Amino acid sequence: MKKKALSVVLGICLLGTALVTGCEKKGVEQSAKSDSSKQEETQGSTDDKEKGSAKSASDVTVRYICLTKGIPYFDPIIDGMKESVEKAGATFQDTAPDTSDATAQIPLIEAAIQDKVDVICISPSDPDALCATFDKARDAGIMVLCVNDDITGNEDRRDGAVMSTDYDKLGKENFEAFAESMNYEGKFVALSSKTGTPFQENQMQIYRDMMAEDEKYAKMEFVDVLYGDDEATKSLTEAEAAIQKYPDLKGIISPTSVGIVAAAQAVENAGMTGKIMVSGTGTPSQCKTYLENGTMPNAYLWDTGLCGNVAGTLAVKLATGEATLEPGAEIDLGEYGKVTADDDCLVPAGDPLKFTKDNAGDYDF
Amino acid sequence: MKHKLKINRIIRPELTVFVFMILSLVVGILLSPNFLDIRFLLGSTIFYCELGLMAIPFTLLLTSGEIDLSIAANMSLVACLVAVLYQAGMSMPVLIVIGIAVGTLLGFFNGLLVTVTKLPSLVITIGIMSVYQGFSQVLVGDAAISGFPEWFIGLDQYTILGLIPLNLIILIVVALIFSFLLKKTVWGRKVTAIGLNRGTALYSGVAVEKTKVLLFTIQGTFCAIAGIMTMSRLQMAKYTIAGDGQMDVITMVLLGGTAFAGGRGSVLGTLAAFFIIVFIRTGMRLALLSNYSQMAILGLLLIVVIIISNGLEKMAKKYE
Repeated sequence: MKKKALSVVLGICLLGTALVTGCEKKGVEQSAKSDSSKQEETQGSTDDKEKGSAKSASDVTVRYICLTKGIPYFDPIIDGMKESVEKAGATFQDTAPDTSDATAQIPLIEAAIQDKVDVICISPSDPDALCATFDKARDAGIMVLCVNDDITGNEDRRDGAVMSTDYDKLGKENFEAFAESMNYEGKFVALSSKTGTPFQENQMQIYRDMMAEDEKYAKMEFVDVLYGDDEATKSLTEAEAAIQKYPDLKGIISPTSVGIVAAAQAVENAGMTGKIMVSGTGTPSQCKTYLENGTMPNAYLWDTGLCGNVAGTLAVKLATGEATLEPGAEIDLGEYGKVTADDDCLVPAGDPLKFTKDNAGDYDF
Repeated sequence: MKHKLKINRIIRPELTVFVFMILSLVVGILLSPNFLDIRFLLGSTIFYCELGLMAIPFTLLLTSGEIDLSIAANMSLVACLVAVLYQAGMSMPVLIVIGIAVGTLLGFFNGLLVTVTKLPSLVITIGIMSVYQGFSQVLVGDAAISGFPEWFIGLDQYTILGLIPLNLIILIVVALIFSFLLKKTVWGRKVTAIGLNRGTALYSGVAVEKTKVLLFTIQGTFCAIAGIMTMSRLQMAKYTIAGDGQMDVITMVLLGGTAFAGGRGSVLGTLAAFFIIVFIRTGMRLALLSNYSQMAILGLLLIVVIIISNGLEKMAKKYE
């Protein structure tokens, strides 16, 4: 009995090795085949180069990998990119994972490599987790452009990035306009989203830096940071509590679209319109009422559609060789304007948008 | 008589799975011209190997008539625990041992709960699932823990001859061992007997409870191994690391021809179903189909396969 069992185990081991070696053989043949086809391809492309024409736009495929499915914020980016890529005569595809987990985009990048697209535009879910896969794509000759979000700290692992706007510039313009509405004096608080979110932390740091550097903000006092977790109710409660706590409060600045509306609501509920100024980042449609009744003298945001337009046009131009992305490069994108790359090959798509009671009705987002 | 015996041997529930495996390969080729690339296909298996590894002992568990819905939760709990302890300064080799031990214990605990309370394992393990999920969230919160040692990360990057990922080899070897255990050993026959008729098995002298606890324990061990392998592949741990992995595992096992009520199971069928899922998901991803349509198609496939294999089984019985 024992002998029989032993022989069966041995048999299985043999079968296993046979299977493995069998697979190897097949694989070698296959890879040899694909190698030769690759050679043909490279020959083909050198032929093209010899003719003096780089890839024409009609041969270019741009694939956009969104953060995850179903976030309305990204819709204008997708639409804008599709519009500009197709206008340039190239093919546009878009895909997205159904979770925003750090690594959910990896299989999609692998699929794009296998499909031999020319440019991968991606809104990365994580600054670190995707780098190894980006390397693989770039080794395969695919250009990797980050869109809307960057892999901060790993800039050398992607070819470039297109941001909706220069967020530092946005922060500075926003704070200056906010300070002006407060007549450069009095206490103010910031209403943020969650602790540690990069965008909000960066914006608040800009306010602090500006106050430290410029004398004209000397009479202003940044008394507190509130965290509303980007939930309407919690943001409102936090803002109302701050109005109670600081009776001489002169302003609330909120670099989040949920917070800015909650802050304006809290000021109105307290009957402090005109006494407490509200500003920050928010969409014109959400802020319109408050802009018009004076609770919010101004609000800022960026044009996400333009971000898509710029990313799409840039992607095609880079793939056809019409433009190269290097630090300091100035690239003319025709109807979408001129863009300039910074030292990390980051390209802001356009200037920050300022909304006031006069122009809030002009936008449809 | 001879003729009848032959048909009986050919028409088996697993047959459907293998036919569908070939079909899914064909569908993949039709979906995208870039599908048929052995290197890419083998490389694509790494995203599912850990689930496949859990599906192997799960096949035996289901054959014995029990189910464990807490497998994915067990997997993330082990991963989160290992990550948190690593952050606290413990050494990774020790933690791998601890992680596997903890997973094994969790499985053993499930087995005890099911056999002692005599409640359906479906009910017990739904509860356990939430408990484990809760624990992992308490341990790490929303954060993703990374920064593991260089040697630990990227297990999936090892390949045999630059072609077959190590994870896939592990899966195949484990599948062969378990297939042997289920089909060729007395113990495996007992597992099947328990699933066929618990009472009869008990009166025939099979240690039903003991076998079940052992099956849950083995399941726990493999959940832990899968958890650690996933950590190595993703280079991080998070409470969502396993997602709803139990659903994929159950799909694989059922697609592989194992009966939900127990009494019939095939490890090689599960392995074939693993490849079906890899082929279909990879093909649909190349065709830029969304995850939601992938799920719908896999669900439809599962129903079709189960109906066909049940029909075949009835046919085979007629010939007996």
